[in-house]
Amino acid sequence: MTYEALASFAQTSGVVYFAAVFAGVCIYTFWPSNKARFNKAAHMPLMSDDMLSGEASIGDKTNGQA
Amino acid sequence: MGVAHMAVQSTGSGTLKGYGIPGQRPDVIFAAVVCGLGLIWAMAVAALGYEPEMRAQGWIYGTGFVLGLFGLAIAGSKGHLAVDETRYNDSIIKWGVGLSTFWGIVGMLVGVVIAAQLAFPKQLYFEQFGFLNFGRLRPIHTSAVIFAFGGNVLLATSFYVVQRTSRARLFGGILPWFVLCGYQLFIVAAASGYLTGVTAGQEYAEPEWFTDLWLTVVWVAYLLVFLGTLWKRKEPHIYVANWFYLAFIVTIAVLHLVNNAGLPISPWSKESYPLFSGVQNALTQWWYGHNAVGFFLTAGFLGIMYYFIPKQADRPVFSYQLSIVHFWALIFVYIWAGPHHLHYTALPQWAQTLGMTFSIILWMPSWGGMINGLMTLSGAWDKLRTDPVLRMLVASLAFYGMSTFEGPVMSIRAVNSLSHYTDWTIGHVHSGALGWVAMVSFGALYCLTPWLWRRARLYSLKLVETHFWLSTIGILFYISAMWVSGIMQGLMWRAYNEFGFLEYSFVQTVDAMQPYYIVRAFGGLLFLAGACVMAWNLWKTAKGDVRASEVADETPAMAQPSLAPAE
Repeated sequence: MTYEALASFAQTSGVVYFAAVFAGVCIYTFWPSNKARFNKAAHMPLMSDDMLSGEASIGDKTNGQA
Repeated sequence: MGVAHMAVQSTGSGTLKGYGIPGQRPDVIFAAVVCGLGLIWAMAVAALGYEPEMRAQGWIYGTGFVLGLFGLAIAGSKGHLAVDETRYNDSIIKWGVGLSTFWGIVGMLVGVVIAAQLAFPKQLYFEQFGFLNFGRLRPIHTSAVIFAFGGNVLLATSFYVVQRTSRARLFGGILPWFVLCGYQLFIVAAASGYLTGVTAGQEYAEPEWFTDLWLTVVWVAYLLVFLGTLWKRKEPHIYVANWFYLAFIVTIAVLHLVNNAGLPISPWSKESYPLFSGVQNALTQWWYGHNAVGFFLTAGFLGIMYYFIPKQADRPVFSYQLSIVHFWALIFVYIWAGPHHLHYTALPQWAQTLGMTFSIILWMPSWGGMINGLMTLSGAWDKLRTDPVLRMLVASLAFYGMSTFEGPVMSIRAVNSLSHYTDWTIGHVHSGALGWVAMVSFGALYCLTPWLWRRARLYSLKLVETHFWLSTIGILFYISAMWVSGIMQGLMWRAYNEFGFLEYSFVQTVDAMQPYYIVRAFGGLLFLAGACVMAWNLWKTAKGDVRASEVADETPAMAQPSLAPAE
């Protein structure tokens, strides 16, 4: 394989790889049904930070709870 | 709660109450075995070490492991090893806050000392005390501020944030304590090694092979604590700050292992040989070095930003979607930027160009994140007038924006031909390290202290203002001096006379730096003074005092009945 062929392959596959990853991230980020979840998640730092057993201010289901 | 194996065990023996039944507390057994094996190795090194400085390292590690075993025995006998799954583990974060403050002041003090050594080389060069010279002290400064100060801030804040946003206690029983204490042993061993000449000689990766191995053990435990806490979370969604922390932990582990790959000449010697040599070594080193910036000093501290700014501003994250794009773009791009440290070297031109290109692409995620943090204040901008802690956090973002603009500019090959090896680089690093990393850390420490010690307010908001201005003015002195000195240095190095000879000898360029070095040392001194003001303020806050002159300003609802005026 010549240097030119290798470089051309690396450049093309690099572009495709990064474009695909970025497209995937954007699709996940802007998928309509995810919007409500993300809007809730934006409030996560504002949850009560005192008691572990305290009421959650966001999220309606818990796991690991008897 | 369903985590039976962590619950208090009654053994019937009074002295072992809370210790747990052996076999049901793998965390305790793990810590005891590691300390025991470590102690055996350390004693052997103290006796058989080839070099006196290696034997000294044996003594340091031995002391650390003995203290660890004593700590384990004392905690066990007093029942402190019991784990209450209904409460957050906050005491470890209190220690983290104290250690961060301590190491911050140590690291900045050493920084001021070496800045003064550069400004006044005649007065501060000690021929008879080689270990006090710039070459020995400089890695102590860089490692103390990055790994000791920054590292402890990241440990403390990540432990705080992952518990709160997962609504779960830290995983692993005493494993988090193993991480925190083991990390301090790493710091002491590394720093004492630099002083005595135990060094691998790679920038920001100076610790020798045995200290690298010890950090690996501690870091894997850290990863387990973090993942375990996420695993038992009660919130369905993993908050974005935790993604940044996790990226930081995982990537630092990979960088550390690859860049420090090497072979010691003997288990009893401080000397080791790296796996890579020549340009491969250089590339690996700057892949490591730049990602220490990208994942230690950026991703980890962005985790702080995404929790503490919304919390302190009492506003949700401006755009959670932007934070997701920010995260994936940042981690996918940063990892390629390292080669910009090797322009005009033996590294192939295409690899240099690759590093430069990715550095420029980094503008986008960096500024996206900065805008997301700043816009989180929308609807709460007035708080910048009244809340100096929030102002500190926001100022850190401004410096983040500034240094992440400057960095890509400097990575461009033509600019780099002027800036590389000059003080401009030092100025750039410090606008990021002082302006972004330290300021966001100060903000987080000012938030954490009243939250953890359950105080209604800080001891003094006026002192936070004082700190804010000392830091900001100190940074401006520092970076302005380094811009001027760096560009002047670069221009002097490339100046030719009409015969084609270099215009200036090297020593002339060094001599021209002195006024700027004095200004730089002064700026650093202001920054250190600000950190000392903070330490006093945090100490008094933890004690529960409120500054006498500020008690009257309080609204009755906020005042705490038990508060006594200071002094």
